Amino acid sequence: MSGMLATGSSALLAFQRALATVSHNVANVNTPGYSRQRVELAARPGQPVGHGYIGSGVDIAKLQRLADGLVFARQLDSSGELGRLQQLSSLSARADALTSDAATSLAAPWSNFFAAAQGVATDPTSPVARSQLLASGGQLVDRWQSLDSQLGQIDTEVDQRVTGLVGDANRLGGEIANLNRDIVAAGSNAAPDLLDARAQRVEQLADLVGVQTVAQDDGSLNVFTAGGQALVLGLRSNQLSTVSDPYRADRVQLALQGSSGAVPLAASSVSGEIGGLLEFRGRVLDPARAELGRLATAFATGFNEGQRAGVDFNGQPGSDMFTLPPPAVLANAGNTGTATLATSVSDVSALQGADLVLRFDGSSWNATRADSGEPVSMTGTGSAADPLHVAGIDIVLSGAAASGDRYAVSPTRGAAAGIKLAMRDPNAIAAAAPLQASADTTNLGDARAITTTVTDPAAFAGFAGSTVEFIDAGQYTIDGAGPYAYSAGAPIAGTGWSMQLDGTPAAGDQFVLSRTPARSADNRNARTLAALDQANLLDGGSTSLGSGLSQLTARVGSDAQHADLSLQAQQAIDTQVTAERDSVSGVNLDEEAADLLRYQQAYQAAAQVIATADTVFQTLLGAVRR
Amino acid sequence: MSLRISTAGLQMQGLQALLQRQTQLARTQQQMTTGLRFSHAAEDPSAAAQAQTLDHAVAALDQFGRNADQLESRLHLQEQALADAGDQLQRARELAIQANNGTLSQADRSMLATEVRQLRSGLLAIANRDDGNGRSLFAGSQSHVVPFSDSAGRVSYAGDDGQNLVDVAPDQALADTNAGSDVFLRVRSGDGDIRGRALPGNTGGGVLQGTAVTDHASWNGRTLRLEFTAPDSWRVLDAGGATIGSGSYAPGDSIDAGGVQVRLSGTPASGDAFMLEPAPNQDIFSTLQSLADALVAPAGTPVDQARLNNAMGSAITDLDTAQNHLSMVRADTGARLSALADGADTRAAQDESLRSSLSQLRDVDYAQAASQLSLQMTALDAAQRTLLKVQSLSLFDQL
Repeated sequence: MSGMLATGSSALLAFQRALATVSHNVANVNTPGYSRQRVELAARPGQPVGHGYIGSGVDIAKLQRLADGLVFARQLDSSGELGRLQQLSSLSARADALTSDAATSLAAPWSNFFAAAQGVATDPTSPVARSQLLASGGQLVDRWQSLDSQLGQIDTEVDQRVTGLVGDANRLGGEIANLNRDIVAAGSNAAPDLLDARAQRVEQLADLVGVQTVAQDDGSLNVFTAGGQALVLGLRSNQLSTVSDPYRADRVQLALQGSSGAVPLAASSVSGEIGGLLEFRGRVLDPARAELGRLATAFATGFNEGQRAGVDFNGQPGSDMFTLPPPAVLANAGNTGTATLATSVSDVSALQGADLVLRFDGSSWNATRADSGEPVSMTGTGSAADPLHVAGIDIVLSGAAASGDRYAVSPTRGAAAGIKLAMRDPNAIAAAAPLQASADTTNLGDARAITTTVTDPAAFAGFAGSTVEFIDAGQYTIDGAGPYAYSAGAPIAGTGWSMQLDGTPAAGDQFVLSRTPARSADNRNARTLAALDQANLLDGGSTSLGSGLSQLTARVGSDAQHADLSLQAQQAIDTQVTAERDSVSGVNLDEEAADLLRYQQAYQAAAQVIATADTVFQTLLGAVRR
Repeated sequence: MSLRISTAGLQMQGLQALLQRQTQLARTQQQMTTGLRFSHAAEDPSAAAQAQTLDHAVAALDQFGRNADQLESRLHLQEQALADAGDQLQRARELAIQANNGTLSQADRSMLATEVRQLRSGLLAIANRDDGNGRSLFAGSQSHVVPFSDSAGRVSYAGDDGQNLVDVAPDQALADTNAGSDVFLRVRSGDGDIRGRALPGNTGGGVLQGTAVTDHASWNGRTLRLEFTAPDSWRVLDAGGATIGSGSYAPGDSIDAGGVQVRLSGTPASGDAFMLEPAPNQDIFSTLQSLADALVAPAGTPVDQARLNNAMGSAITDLDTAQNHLSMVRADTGARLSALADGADTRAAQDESLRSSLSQLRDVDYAQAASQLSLQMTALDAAQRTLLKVQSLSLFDQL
């Protein structure tokens, strides 16, 4: 009887606990990171009676937290990846919107500019057409600057976000270390909710930087970055920090505070939101701005060269229409030498957007790509007469470099921000070619000069007019010198110039070549300028400016598309992983309702056992009293 | 064992499906309201890049169209100017023929001369026409100049030989108006090959009726001198004074020598000479000027009459050649105008094909979008209903 009472009360206690656990589960049905709990019941061992053992009730063996370590690891992977792709995708979409939206992209002012250049070619003397070209040049340059500055704002935002998220990551790391301490102190009796709290923080940390975990025997959890750097080791957490880029003080780099100071982390060693931000900066934003700058450099250089090949409305040699800053050089903060590098673009078609690192090894300079570390071939000595020549850039050195000094050269990054319209006078547009020819009015042949070109500007500099006179249809003299043989269609070449005739000259025919005077309505140079959008100036002469522009749009667009597709895939994976976690750890209210019913009925039955024991006892007492 | 589902997970799943449907619906709605298949390059990078290139090409076509309009107006003006100039020359030729018939008085001829002078100044005004935008039609590539100016009977040219090319369609550039030097100055005299001219000191009544080359090879562009050693006997000398032909002459005879045929009328005096030379260039204004000058010269004596007739004869020949020259320039202008029309067709065809490519690249297919929209609305509706239904299911309701 006392056995029965004891058994009944053990059951009452056990089912009370079980009901409490069910209530706890129900209460936490919407708590993020909560793992459902279950009371594990075990039968008390029986007590020996003569003929065997009689059971003596139930015990709570364990309060089980239902969680799966493997699923947890997958969940961490997925969180890191999801965080990374979310940042990459949303920022890439913003960059894409800037480069492809008609209101912010270069496309419309680009077309307007070349239409205006065609307008000048059609009506070279019209002040309206000339002013129109300058105005649309100004708009194009403004658009270039504003597009670059908007991308620059995203860059700044990335820096600020990295700094903010590093603070969050450090707070989480500290909390995980504290929870590790509490869990280690509690030993094997650590509360399930403490484990949940730690798991939740690890997952949040994974979302920020992407982590891997290693469980320790004492119950603590060590947390590492995707690249293997320890963030939490037992009870200690290592602080992440941001340090200035060694070349660019205005830009932050991720670092890990170790015992020997801050160690910079490569962008590839972290995943999560911070990894996504750094990846966006390195893989999408920087190349896009460099390409934008490369287009600006090629456009301005090409147009200026075209201008210089012609003469303006005042009869002066054409001057530059645009100004560009020289390629940026940034010295490493750790340099000890005093060398300064003066850069200039020498060959637009060889220009690459990628940043270069120049290193002095004590005797010579060598160049590598900043992103991949690949060597880049470089010639020259660095003197003014023989500058270092690398990837379309000339570099003149002054001062003395110390061995190991490094310099970052950004060939094109500042160009889009720095391109400016230098021309204010519409008459300075060089629409005319510098050389013109006229046939003498007494010429009897039907030959006409169809092209006159300057073949060598240096030799042409001293040109003060020439006369080509035909002795007969097969011979001519230039300024009395000659005779030279003439065959139909072959060019007639003088000092720095060349002329081509159409038709047959007669004996005595004269052609007078002279410099184009002021107020010329000639449009030969303007036509060259207006066709510059189709000129293959880029990539060794294989890509035109126009296709360079659409390639930029396509490139940023496909970066954004790729990030978005990866994000969608990762979201599907994450949904799957979450479902797996939920299948183990999630609370199902129907299940809890069933359990509630089950334990309630068991509790009622146990109470009935107590009542029965009492009845049996009363029966016995009644029998004895009589 | 089937996968356990958590209550929160079930609701999250429903909610996410709902949100996803809404995103898709919003995108279809945007496509239908903007008419564009994509608004940003990320949605279809290669199509967006291609569309950008095509947009630029369409804009360039528009500009080519404006170029062509401008060129067309200038070429029409040139054609009109050439037609007007031709009319002036035609009238001058009629006057020269009228003066040549020998029955006119001195006063009549000076009236004719006055009219020729008016024709000349009319022609000068035509040669100085501009295109309505302040740019001369016939100044070559000189601007802000009056191309032709008259001073003491001589017209000087301030323009040059420049002739611009204007882009009117992709890979098609047409020449702008001709330089004035080509139109009015560099005009051959005579019949365009050879010119016969009576020397001013002739004292006889020999009148040149025509000079023509019969054998180019034997003439070979030489300057020949036809001399009368007696009124009925002639010889032809080359530039070196060597005799290359001689014969006897009766009025109305043709004289053939050195590949050149000369027809004469009247009786020349002994020692009279005629120069047969390669036709030099003579500007149209000079032709008219010398016509007017010849008309006012006295023609009382037979010698003067012969001089007048010789002058009228060469003026008529020169005017014929000049008229031919203008007609050729005019035909060339007409050819360019018709090429402009071809250019317009090319542009229209290209514009059509570019726009249809653009439309294929980025315009929304409304039928497809509409059916997609209704499908997505049904799906959203289903997701909403399912979410509500599933949420209302709970065992706790039954307890």
